[in-house]
Amino acid sequence: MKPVKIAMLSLTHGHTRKYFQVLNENPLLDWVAVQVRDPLAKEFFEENVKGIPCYETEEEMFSAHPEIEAVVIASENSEHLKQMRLCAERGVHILSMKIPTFDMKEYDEMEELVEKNHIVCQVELELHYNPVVKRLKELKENGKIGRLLSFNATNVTLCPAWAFPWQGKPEYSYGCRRALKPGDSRYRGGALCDHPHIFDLIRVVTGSEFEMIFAQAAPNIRKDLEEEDMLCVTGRMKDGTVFSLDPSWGKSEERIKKPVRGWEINPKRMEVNVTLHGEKGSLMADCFGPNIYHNTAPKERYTVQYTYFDEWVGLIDEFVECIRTGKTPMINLKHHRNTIRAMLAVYDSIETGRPVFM
Amino acid sequence: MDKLNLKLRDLLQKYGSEKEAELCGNTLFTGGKKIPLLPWRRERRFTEMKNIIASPYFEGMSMYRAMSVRLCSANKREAVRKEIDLFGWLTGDDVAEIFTVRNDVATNLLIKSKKGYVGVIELGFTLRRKEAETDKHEAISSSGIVCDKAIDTQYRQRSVYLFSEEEETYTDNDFELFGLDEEEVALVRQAFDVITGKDKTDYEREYRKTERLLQSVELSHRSSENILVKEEE
Repeated sequence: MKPVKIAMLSLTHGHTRKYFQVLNENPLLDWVAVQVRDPLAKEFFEENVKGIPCYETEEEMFSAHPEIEAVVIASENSEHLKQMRLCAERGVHILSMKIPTFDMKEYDEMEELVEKNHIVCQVELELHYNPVVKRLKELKENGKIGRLLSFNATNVTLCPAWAFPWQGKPEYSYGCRRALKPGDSRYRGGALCDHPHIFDLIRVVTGSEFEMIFAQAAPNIRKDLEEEDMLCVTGRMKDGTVFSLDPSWGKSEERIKKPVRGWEINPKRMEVNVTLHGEKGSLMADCFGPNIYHNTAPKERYTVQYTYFDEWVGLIDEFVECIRTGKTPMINLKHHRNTIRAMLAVYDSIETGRPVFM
Repeated sequence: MDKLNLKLRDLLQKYGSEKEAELCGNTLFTGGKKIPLLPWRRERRFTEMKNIIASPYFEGMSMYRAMSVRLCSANKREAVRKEIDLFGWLTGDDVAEIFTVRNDVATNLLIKSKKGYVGVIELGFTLRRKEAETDKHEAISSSGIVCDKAIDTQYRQRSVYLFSEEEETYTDNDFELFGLDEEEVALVRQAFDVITGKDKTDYEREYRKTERLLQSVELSHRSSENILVKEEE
């Protein structure tokens, strides 16, 4: 298949480093250019990538490189609509970060742009290309635990807001400043906004939609963060599956500006663990384990060293295939809408103290 | 006499207590009283977790997570009692709110304490073999976490693994009560501590508290509402 000529926008998202590796190494991609405004992001790019031209604005980049066929939108959530408009009007395909927007009017416009301009818009939910998740889906589909009745999952990480400041700012992460609940000094935009994966995974695994959601926000473990960092969600899907989801920033971290070795205070900086209960048994999965362990420099702390993170192989395979064949990606805007709606319902439940019926 | 009562009697005799006592399930009959014990509070891993949480090094308590996967024939009510009691006892705070979702094989509780700590309890009742039962308990705070399972593991380690014609595992953590498993050790130890006066907890009052919590669990399940737990009158 002919490699896709691809660029990256903004470079302020936490997955940017991963895309440096992917765009460099994947033979299905021909990395053409990047756009970056943020000085720290630019400095990091120039330290790590050679030979790829860098532009300050999206317009400059697109003018200099009309050959660009696709972009990775690697920006803060509040920039996504503006960038999607720029891509759509040029017929450029989009790989969007996991939260296109929390504003449903913006979301409507995004869907319209994609449809009207006949472009591929894939949402980066890389867990679907994780081999443990593939095994989990297969075992469930093969009836190993019988009819699924319960889905519990954690998507718990460290807080990236010190290295990627926009994630700690409600206007950039959530899209506006909205108090978590009356009398609370915190705003929407924290951990929940960083962790949509399990809200999507439950929909795909059950084949069902959310019926009822109840959530509680716990006291922050980072007292100076103005968004929520610890929360928990429970509820029921329309097919009767009960669930418990934890999308917290529950793994503590060093407050460093660049994510490097020694970032972790909690040994495991990220986990996605899934437990399924069915009529015939249970399945427990660690989507990112087992690993290796060390307590070497720079901090001599016992730390997990992950042994696999290759979800982006499958993700890019699908993206390229959709571009070349005109197929619609599995995780597209239309599919993803109900995940975003569920996440908004989580915030509404925290705000009101009551369950939300979808 | 069953092995638990034999071990209890031996322990009492060893330490010079002449009190008569008998365990029937989790209930202790002694001195004309019937005392409902909460033996999990005496399990070594939980006493050590509580010590850490209560220490000045554990600051800014935020969230508590517990999961337990049990036999499909397990007593669901008692499983909930244990886990909801552990939340309050380990965190040192009372449950103020309960939200329940439940079906035939799973019970999930989302609870909040008086001080605002949030707890999530995930129970599954799907197993066919007792040996497969597993659980995990974790408390998360500003100053760190405490957990009864090692990072990156899904199953709790055992002390001894035997690979022979049959495969067997053992966890032995009490020399005087060798031969009892962790839950049995905890039950006998708590009974002993109550009989000898070392443990002065009013277990009848604590048990009544768990009964009120269970009523709130049930009410939340039936109403799909977040229930505010009533105090003892």
